[in-house]
Amino acid sequence: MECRMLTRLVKGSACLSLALAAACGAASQTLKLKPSLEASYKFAQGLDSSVADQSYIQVKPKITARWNRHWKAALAVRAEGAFDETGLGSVDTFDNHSKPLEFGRDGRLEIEEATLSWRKRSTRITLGKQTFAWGVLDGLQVTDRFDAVRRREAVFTDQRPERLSKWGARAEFDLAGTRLDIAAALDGSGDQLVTPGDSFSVRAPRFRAGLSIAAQTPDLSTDLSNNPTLGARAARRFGDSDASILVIHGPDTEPVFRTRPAGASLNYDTRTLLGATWQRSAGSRVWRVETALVFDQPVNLQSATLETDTRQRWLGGVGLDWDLRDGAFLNAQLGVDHIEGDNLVRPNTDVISTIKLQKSFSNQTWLASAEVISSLSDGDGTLRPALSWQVDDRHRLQIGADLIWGDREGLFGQFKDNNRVWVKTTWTL
Amino acid sequence: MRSLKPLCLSLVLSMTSLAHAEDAPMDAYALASLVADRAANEGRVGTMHFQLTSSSNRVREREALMLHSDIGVTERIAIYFTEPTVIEETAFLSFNHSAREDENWLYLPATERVRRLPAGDRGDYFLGTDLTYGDIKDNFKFALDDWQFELGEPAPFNGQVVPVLKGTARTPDIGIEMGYASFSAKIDETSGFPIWIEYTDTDGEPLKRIEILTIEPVGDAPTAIHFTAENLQTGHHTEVRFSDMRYVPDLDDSVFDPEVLAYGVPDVD
Repeated sequence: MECRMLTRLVKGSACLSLALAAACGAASQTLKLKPSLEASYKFAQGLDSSVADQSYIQVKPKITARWNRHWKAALAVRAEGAFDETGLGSVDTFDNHSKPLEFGRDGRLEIEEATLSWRKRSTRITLGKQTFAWGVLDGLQVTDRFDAVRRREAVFTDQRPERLSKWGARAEFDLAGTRLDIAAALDGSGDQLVTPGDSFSVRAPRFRAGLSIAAQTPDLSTDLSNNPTLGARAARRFGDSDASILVIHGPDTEPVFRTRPAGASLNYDTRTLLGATWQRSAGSRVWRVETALVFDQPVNLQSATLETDTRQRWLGGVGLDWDLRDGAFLNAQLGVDHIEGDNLVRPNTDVISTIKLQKSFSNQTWLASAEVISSLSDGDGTLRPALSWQVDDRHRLQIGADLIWGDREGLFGQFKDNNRVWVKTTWTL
Repeated sequence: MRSLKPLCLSLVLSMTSLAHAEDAPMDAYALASLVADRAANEGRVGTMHFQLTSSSNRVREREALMLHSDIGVTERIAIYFTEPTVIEETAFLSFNHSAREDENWLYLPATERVRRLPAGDRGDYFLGTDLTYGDIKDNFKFALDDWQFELGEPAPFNGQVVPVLKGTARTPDIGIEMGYASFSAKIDETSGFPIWIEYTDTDGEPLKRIEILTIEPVGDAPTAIHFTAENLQTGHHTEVRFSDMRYVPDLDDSVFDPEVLAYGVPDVD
């Protein structure tokens, strides 16, 4: 399948539809246009250095158009600038159709959403640049592996994961009480990687094809896949439970390294994931479970020639939401990621836990939270306390810290030099 | 079949009344039943306007589309927020089952996913307002299984003398779950609405006062169109006013589909 041609087709038709929608809507009295804007600024100070670690500004205008009860179009862009050690990340892993416009090293403009959707009752069809959020756990990506995500700040972001939208098509509908969600992304973008040299550059050999940070990194090129990502999900309610099964087939969003005549390349090989989710409410608690099997996970092996192989990968996770009353809330999760076989550049098994405790005050204008994310297998982790104040309907102030411990070659310990405190202000219109 | 409904309802009412006869005076229970069994329409839709005022007079406003359906054994409420931008597209759905545990879902645009919420969160406050999730779901009714009722001294209200219904949580656990230990309410016998309610917290301290300012018929059922809730401990105050409230008896099931919360505000005729 010529994926790029299809991408152009979807992209072209979505853009054309948006323009037509605007034109038709403008001529009609039923057009409802709704503009909105969110602007934010985040400043972070490294605790282990005297220089600013991050100075990041983001402006996100969005316009939504509806011209009858069935049709809706949305266009949202993300303009961003970063002026310090935590930069905007590499654009090499973006498909050409999704690549942001760059303004020097510090400025970007990216289409975050460009969709045309039609809905009737439980049916919705969406064309254009969009995200596909699946799974029931928070931040632990077991079955939530359709979207590529930003990795430029590792896990140290407000929202986790930060999804990258892709050009594609999606159909959601009911069939005999079962909810079906069928998606095709015709955009080969992989996870966005950090720019080498930035604060959150990866140090752990497991993310560098087994090469230590001291080893000379080969010149890297990116070899994105032309294949589409296809997915289907069926979900159903059973009493107090929701259950789903899903399949995702397409290029992995995480790369493997391969040698090339000159240097090495990042490759996004195709894999197939079969997964299931279940969640159930019981009194003040909700239990969530996910499991996934990747039949043919591309992996790097320990070798001087950046050898690769495919292995079976099992992922599983269990989560608990616990309403502790008086605005207090606990979320605890445990995830296991196991790849079979020997000679991997990463451990066979990662065990990750996340615990988040939060409490709101003063009619939810204040929110205090603390999150611990740790690798039980590596013995490293991070503590992320934060305090948020919704000053009014338009302004929010946040302050927080990212405190990291562990071995320099561990999942989180590799970032132990990036302990930081941060402040963020957000303004919406 | 429709003509049998009042008869069945009366039978059920008299049986449940007998079952509770030992717990409370009959007239208090009858008054509570009048409120609990107040006529509800099969479906209604309206725009909710919230005004949240802090003790320092800081004002926040919200607007949402509310859809309500009460058919058979499940009462369903969907609330789609439309204003302001910071909360836009957030959507809440509740199934209030008569025979089993309630179910709640919340769609938060930031997470892009519909999340099942704990069912036992009746005492938690709804998105910054002075109304709990239980207040939203109960629609100014006092669940007969949750309270022990007694009559208070009739009290004046707007130039009339109205009966007063008092309630105490049947068990401390139920009180903790609701967030209330007791209430005292002035009842409008014509509409079956409590028009003034004062709740105490689980320590017995005065917590909240709700006043229903306007009741209008929507379809065949009286409906609270304008009401206020004031937290007596913090001074925070929430005013809720409905506009464009209308009777829609045949609301499509899809507007109460948890997965459809992510689609955004439905267009309802």
